[in-house]
Amino acid sequence: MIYCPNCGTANRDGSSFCNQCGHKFGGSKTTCPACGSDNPIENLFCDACGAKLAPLVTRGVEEKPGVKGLSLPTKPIDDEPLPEDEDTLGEVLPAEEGEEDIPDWLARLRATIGPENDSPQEGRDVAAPQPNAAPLFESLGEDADEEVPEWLQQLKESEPSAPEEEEAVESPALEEEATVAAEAAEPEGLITESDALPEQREVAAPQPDAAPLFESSGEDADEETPEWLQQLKELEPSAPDEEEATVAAEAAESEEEIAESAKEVVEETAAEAEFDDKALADSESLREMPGQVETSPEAAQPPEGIDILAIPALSEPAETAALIPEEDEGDLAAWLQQEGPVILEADEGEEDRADTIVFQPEETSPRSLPPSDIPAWLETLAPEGAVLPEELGRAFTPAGKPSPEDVGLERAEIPSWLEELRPGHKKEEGPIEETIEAAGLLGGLRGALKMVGAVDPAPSQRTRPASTPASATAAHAEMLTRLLNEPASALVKPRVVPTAARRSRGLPWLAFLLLFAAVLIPFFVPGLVPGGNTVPGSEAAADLSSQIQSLKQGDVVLVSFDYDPGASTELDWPVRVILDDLRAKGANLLITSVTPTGPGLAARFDMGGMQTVLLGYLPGQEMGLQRLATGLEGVFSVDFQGNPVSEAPLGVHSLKDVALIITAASSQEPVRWWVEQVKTQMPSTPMGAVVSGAIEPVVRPYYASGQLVGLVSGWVGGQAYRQAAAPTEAASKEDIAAMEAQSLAHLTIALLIVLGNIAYWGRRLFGRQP
Amino acid sequence: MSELIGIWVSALLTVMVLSYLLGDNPLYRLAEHLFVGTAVGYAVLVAYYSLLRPKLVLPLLQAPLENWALAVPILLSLLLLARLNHKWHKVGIVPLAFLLGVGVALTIGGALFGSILPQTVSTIQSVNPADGGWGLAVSNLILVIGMLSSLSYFYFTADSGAGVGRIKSGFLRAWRGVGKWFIMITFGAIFASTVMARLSLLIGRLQFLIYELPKSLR
Repeated sequence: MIYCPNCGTANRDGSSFCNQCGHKFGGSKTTCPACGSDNPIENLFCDACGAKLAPLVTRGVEEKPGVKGLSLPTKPIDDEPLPEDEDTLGEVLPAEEGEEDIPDWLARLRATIGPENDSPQEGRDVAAPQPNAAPLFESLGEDADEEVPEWLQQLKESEPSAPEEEEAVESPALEEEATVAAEAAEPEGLITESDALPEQREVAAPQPDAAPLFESSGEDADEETPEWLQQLKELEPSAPDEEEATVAAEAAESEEEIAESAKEVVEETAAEAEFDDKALADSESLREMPGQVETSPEAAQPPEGIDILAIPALSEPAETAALIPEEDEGDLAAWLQQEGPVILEADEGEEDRADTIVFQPEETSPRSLPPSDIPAWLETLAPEGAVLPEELGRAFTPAGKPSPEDVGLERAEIPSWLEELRPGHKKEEGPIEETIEAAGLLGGLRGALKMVGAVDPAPSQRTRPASTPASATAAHAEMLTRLLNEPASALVKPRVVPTAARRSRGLPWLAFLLLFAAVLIPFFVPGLVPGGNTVPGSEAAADLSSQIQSLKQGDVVLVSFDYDPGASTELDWPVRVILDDLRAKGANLLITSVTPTGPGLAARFDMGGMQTVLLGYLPGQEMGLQRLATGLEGVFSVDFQGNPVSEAPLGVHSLKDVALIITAASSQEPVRWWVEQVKTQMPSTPMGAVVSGAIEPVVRPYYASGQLVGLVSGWVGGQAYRQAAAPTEAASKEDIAAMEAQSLAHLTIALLIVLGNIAYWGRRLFGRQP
Repeated sequence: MSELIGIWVSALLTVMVLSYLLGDNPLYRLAEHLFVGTAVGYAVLVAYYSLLRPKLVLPLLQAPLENWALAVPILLSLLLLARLNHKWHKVGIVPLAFLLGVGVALTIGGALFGSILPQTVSTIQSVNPADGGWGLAVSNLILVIGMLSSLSYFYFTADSGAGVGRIKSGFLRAWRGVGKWFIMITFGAIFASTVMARLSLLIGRLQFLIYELPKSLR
């Protein structure tokens, strides 16, 4: 299905024009009016934003009901929308104005169909029943009576029964005029049958009195002509002597057909009224409403009623007057009550309105038919051979037919609200008043577009039923509103610090000052701490000292400086103590590092008195150490100074030639690498470690398991090593001050911990929760 | 003279770092950035002169035909640079896989035979006082209890059913409580060691400022 973007009518796939409004389908894409994205022509809603692509049919058909019912020119759906105050016929004119311009019977007719106009779908199809088609209602059954509007029932009751009066239809001249009236009721796009596509022909309004048209069409035309049109073709006045019989037969047949048509119309009206309610809720119903998207030929017979009544009135006024039942004067129009003929009057003085025919019930005479204008859209219906007016203001006359002027037709007066409904009519627009937006995002802008529902909103954006928010939600919304309205300064509240928190805020600073004093005082007051320059004996440090003492003169000791400059303050001193011990034992040094900064740190030490080879940085971490265990020459080609390792004086080619391995590390990884990668390959080579105090707990298990022969931890370990290696050697003034500072700091920390715990437990015991 | 400048720059940087006690400030940031930048620059130079130059550049320049195999590590190194390009970053997986594969293999082998097995064996200690006295026996007992309870603390799938399962669950809960205390004591010891190490750093800096800096003025 292809849904017309103009009127929403469903069309067959592959259609080039809309079968309802004739809108041309320009391509396979439809541009979304909301977001501008291209969508397939079959889409009802936009793929990108969900906006409805096919407009609601209720918009366009609102203007139709009164128009079709009167067989007057209708305004296509795609015309410019009416002003807001002219959405419905009832609102088009004020009551006073309508009474002035609209005949009584038309006003009554409007009043009758007015309530139904509330539903645009109903209004469109209410046009099918013709108020003057009274004879056709004889065959309506009781069911039809229940569904037919009241005004239609009245017309049915007032149906004239004199068959001889229908002879007036047989007048060829008046028949042509009726053709004009019938064609005037059809939109331009629907009348041009020869140009219409099959889909259009299917819904095109039939031309009941277009006799020349049937003459020019052959048998092929009969195949495509609707049944009701075929019947009209058969009724074409071929000879004066056959007219009476033809009309009588046609009347009998058409009674049944139109009665069925009226029933269908009423049913469709009711169905479409239901559809209209659901249209907004579910657009799928568009596809399910055949009456909405396809107009049956029977339902699209607009002008028959008028034709039947008007034609005899023009030819035989006295006989036509008999069509008006006298007993229904109260309900019928004034022109019907006067028993006078129906006059189609053309106003000579207003040529611009000559293409519209309006009933003038007040005027029963004169009977003259001044020339009238024929609109262009009506001229397209002119059959071949017809004599078209050479100038505006003259009605065209088919060949062989008398002109309307000859039969005394006059130009009719057309109300302004009907004039605006004429196809192609362009309403005079005054200067666009550009207002300035007062508020909102567009505040201050001129000429901003109105926020109107140009398209149906997406399903997700439709208004949801109002609901009462929960109390919590309402409270949150109220709080948000209050926060947004309050100035920012009011939201910044002074921070209230509890008294207890204020008091405890200075405790960290007090602890820091105490600790700093404990570190600083020993440098200026030596000997403040009794025995502060001595540390408890360390078995691990003593074991390393014993291992070094067991070295022989000339043994090679590999020392790996695996710490960074940040830990040099802590580790430099223990390393210096050990190097002094090694110097004293006459050992030679082989120095390397698994950290890039290690060789530089090693170069700062005094290596005098020992043969030393500074191998330099050993890359690869675990892989480098694993490779080092296999041989030195494969790992180091030159030493840190660029000298070839093969020419080194120590004559060491592998770690098997090393008597002791000592790693000085500030993190546990280098120690673990040495143990896991080297010690496992050379379990007989002793290995010791000098580590930072921070990693001593995690390195000690290697000493406990025997993988490390000794362990020195930080300054305390260095002092313990000194005490174990040279108990009689006097420490320097700086070293004593440093050791005393370390001891006093430890005492201070222990004191703070004890005091803190006392305060904590005291508060808990005495009921004051911290 | 250079030593004198070095001492003063060192002293100035020490004070700048200690200024962090008063809060974060530009002086501390400057000293921090200088330290990091100097360390990285120094490491790059050391890596070049200790590794790249003697083991890669010089051999290729002196005897390229004999050392053609060095093109393989060069190629792998260049592939590592592909990690910087989003389009070719998958190519850099090859040298990474090589490095990680070798590294993990060595780590697993070394950890198994260098840490796990020796440490496990070292916990098998005698708790018999006749072997080493009561002190050693108690020490070994504490070691065993601490090890088992600490391991059980990380056993999270205890049966909480009825009967035997409930008894086992209750016992395991208590046993895990013991292990938690051992873990807490261990962490406390590590923290205390760290504090001691940092105090050593502070003392070393004060020692430098108090003894070394005045010496430079004389």
